[in-house]
Amino acid sequence: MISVLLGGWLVMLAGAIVSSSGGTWWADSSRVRQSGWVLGLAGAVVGLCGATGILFTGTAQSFSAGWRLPIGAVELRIGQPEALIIALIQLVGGLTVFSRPWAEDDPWDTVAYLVLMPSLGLCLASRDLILFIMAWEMVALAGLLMQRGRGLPEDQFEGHGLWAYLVSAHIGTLFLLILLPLLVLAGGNENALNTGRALLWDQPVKGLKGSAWLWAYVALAIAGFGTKAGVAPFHGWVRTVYRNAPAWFGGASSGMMAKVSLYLMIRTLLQIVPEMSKSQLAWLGTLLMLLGLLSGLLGLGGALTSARIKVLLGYSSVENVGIILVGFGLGFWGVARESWIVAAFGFAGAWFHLINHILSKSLLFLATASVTNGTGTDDLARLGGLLKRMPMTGRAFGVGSMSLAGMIPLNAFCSELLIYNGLFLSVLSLGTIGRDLAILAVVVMGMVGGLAAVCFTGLWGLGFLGNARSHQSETCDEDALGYRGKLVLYYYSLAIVGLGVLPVIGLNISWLAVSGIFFELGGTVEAERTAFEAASELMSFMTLIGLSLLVLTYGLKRWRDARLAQTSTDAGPTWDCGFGYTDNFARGQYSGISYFETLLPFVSKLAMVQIHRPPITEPFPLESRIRVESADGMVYRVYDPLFREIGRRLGWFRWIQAGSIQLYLALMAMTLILMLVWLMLI
Amino acid sequence: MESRFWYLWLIHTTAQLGMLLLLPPFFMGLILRLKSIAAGRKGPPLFQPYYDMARLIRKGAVYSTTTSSVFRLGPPLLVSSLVVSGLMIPLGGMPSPIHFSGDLIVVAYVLAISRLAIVLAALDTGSSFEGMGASREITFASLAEPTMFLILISLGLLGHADPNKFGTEWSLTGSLAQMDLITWVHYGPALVPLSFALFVLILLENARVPFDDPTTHLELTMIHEVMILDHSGPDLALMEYGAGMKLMLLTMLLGRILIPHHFDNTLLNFVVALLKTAALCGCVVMVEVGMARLRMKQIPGVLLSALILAALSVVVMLVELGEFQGLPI
Amino acid sequence: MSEELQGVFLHEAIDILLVAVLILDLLQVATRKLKSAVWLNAVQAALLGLMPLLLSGGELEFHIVSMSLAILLVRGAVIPRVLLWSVRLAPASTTFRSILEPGITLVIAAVLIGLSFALGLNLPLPKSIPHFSDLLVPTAMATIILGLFMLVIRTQAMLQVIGYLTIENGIYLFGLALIRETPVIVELGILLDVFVGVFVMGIVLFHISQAFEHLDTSELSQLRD
Repeated sequence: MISVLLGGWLVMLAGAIVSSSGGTWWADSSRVRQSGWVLGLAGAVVGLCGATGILFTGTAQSFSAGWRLPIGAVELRIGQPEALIIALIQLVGGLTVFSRPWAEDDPWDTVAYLVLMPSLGLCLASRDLILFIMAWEMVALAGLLMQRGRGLPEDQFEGHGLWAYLVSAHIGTLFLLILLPLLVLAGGNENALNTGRALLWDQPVKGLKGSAWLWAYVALAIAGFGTKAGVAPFHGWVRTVYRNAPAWFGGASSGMMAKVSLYLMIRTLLQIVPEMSKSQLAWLGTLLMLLGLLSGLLGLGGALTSARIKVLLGYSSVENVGIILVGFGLGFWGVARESWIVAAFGFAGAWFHLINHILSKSLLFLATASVTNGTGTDDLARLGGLLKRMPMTGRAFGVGSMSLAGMIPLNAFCSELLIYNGLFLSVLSLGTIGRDLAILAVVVMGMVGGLAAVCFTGLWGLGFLGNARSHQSETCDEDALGYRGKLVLYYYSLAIVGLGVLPVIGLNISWLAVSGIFFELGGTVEAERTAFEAASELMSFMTLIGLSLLVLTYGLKRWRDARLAQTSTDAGPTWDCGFGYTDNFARGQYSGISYFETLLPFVSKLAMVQIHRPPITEPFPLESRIRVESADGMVYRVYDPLFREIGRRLGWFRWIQAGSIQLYLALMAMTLILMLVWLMLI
Repeated sequence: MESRFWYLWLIHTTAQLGMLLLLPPFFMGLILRLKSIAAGRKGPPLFQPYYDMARLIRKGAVYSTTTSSVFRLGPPLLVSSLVVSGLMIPLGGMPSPIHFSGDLIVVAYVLAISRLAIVLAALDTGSSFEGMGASREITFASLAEPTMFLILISLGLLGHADPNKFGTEWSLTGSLAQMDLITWVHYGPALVPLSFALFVLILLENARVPFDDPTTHLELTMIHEVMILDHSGPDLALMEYGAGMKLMLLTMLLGRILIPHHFDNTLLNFVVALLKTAALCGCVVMVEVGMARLRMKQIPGVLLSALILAALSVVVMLVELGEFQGLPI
Repeated sequence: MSEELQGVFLHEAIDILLVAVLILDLLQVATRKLKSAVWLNAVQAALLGLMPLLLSGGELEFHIVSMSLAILLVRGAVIPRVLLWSVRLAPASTTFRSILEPGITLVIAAVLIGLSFALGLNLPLPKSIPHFSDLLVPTAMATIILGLFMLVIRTQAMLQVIGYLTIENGIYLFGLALIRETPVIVELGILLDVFVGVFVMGIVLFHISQAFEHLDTSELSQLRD
């Protein structure tokens, strides 16, 4: 099976090469791009088959090529959790490629996707340090390729977005470059340099028992992988990058890269967990849960100070990564207290939410791409009424955003319910700190859920309902989406509703990944069965509730329509409260910031908001606009001052670059002499 | 044995559904009537809301040209979500028709759907005022959500106080089924702040004074009423019906907590529950008569107080259960 | 009524009283009005005055009853009147400022209550009182800590007196938890101390308000001779 997957990847890469070479000296452009597209899609499908195969055969599969890279080897291993994520990536990425025009002038987005998918897969599959880092860098480059200076015309700070992306990606990589070699060494590969095989996830690390260094590993893993995953407080890049990058990048980053990073973080932690005592494991759970809650709050705090769809969605993925982390943290807590049912609920909720979030976010960003293509903006203050002009986009966006707002019967609620239920169960079974933490988590998750409802009703309600707020959104259409784009949106919506009505399916799929972790951490078969039955029971009740909601709503709607058929239905303007606004009074509608304004006093504690209100000086003031400036609280309060300070300190070294040749020569001489002295000393 | 179980379930479900579907307008009428009496007027007949609804249903509807299908889906979704949550909340002294381990959270979220439905319908009209109402409604609701969860935790803890009584089901029915008057003797200190917090939530969720004034005529000060400005005919009837149902559901829940009862006789259960609900409606009226509505800026403060009361209830409940050991020093 | 059930009811009454004391603490922290702050404190003190009656198990001994009556009278009626009398001339004394905004004040107060529960339940204390309630010590701790908190966040002299009185309430409650039987003379002595203290502070406040037309201690920092 793994060879099928690898074949798929190779075909995709070939597709990428063909696609990108269109218009070069040897070929006519559109035909070539078309064939590149077909190749890439075929590769995605083949890869999907391979990954699903591994997922359902249930055993980890390895692949080892006979040749080695410079000090590295091609050693791959794919277990069930990796196969699950790879399958999702192949699915979502394939659908994205499928939705794109197949012979467009600018093939680079398709190329970037076709490179990104195998690279992400390699990140998950690679057991070798060097191969892993190469794949990791390829991911960063593919992301860069997607954003290469093609923001919307109204965005002025394109360079900013690229810088933020590059800097954050490489700060993360910096931590990884420290962490991964340490992991290789601690994993029993001391002579990796000599053998040329630096195996990463080979075996659990050793020699850390009772040592405080363990926490350094944990911190490095969280900082290194958490940066790309958008875990607070390492989410500082989110606002700038999502603001400036095209929606394609958003989908890839939020739907795929963040999830892969998150999983790699958890897997690194799982490598360290065997060395932990029970109480240390409990502290790890606490740490993850607190980080998750912080991500939830800071994510929505950032979202509610912005009125741009892409930024809101980007922050919302910070929030959802937070929810997933809460699930994993709860799982570790359950393991530490040997409360297996809590552990299972935590892990299952986390994995299920991961799946749900990938689906919802891919849908939302695809729909956003359609909006930005159609209107040229993603500013809520300029959109409105899009549901009428972009029916498919609007409906799909509604399904996706209501799912993340926690509406039943859509998928995201079901996974949150699993986590909530684990938290409620742990209130009685985790001892004092676990219980207090669980209560705190329930309260904060309740808060986060409420804020998410504000955020997503705002997103959909302001962007797609009501009247158009600008000329662009009045005259737009969704033609750019094309037939295949609509089809893909339809499939996504179907999947979201399907998983919401039949969450047992999602539970079963995520359980393929959960059970592995569960046994790895010492759970018994019996405990696993009990937990699975409890979770399935909960999920089947969700089916009952979801179905009864659907049936009742449909019935009531039919009844109402039947009533109206007997009487009369008139059309008129919206009731204006005697205010006298004429037909389609669009400017008076609530928009972006004004919808969130009631919350701003609270949110402004999590983010930075400044509202500039022009003073009214005369009896009949002329046109004026309220201007709202907002920045990420973390960036504004921590990162900006910190980086400024670091920059100032580094300025001290500027004398080295004084431009004087004599100085450079002196430095070279000094270096030589120092090296000689060092040689002498050893 | 088995057949008797089904028979009981059927009776309970029918009784609960009947109560749920038939009575909401009655309590609205009761509140209107009590309020008029308190103000020294005679007031409308007790069954006036039924007549109003019948009249509305016979009427046609006017839809704004701005609205889309979302607007038309709003009222049915509102009512159906309330019916479903009504099937999960134990009304009267009976277990609820649908109950399962973990249903506490589901109830809270199903109730939240009713809010999403009404907010989205309001945003769909493209009206400035309805947008304002939607913004306020969803904001205050999101601030109230943690309080709701703390109340649920406190109730859930109560349900686990004596696992022998109801097994280990972690549900609303499981918790409330083991409450009786003696529960108040043991856990009163936790239940007092809980009831206060829940009462505040009831006032907020149902848009009553001091959070919102259901009788105001100034759109700028409205929250709930402004969002249904554009509904007419059967849609308006559904909206009003849903509002009444929400009021009834939550007051019945509070009534069940305040004076727990369960008799073997279904009819008796039913009557006692109605009496309690009527009494609580009286409390709502007393608040409404005795207080002016708050300024919008003050509402978060009140919600915060409710949150702290609910947190206090959880802490005291843990102490009373002997679960609270404090810091593990 | 059986002995056991009576015990349960007494215990219950004590607990409800203690929760009421906690809620009164929160209300005192939250209130923005001078008058209501004074009366809330008085109600709290009066509730605490009932405490010895309940803790003694309902047996009406002379010294306990007289103690309760004295507390009710002095803390519940005399002291609030003295305080209100002393500021009756002070302008703008109906509402006051705090150095924190109300929302944050309440949140911090809630956290402090949680902390005092954590601390109070871990103090190694003898459990010697009949019908000893688990809530007693945490509530006492919470009252003391919240009294201190009030002293910290408020800038008006009058309100700092109230903070002081709240601390006193807490200490009194703590004393109840610790000492099985306090000699009545000692308790009356404490009461006298408090009364004299408040009286003196009242006179001082009266003079400050006459001299400066305000009672804001943050603006009295320049008072040097």
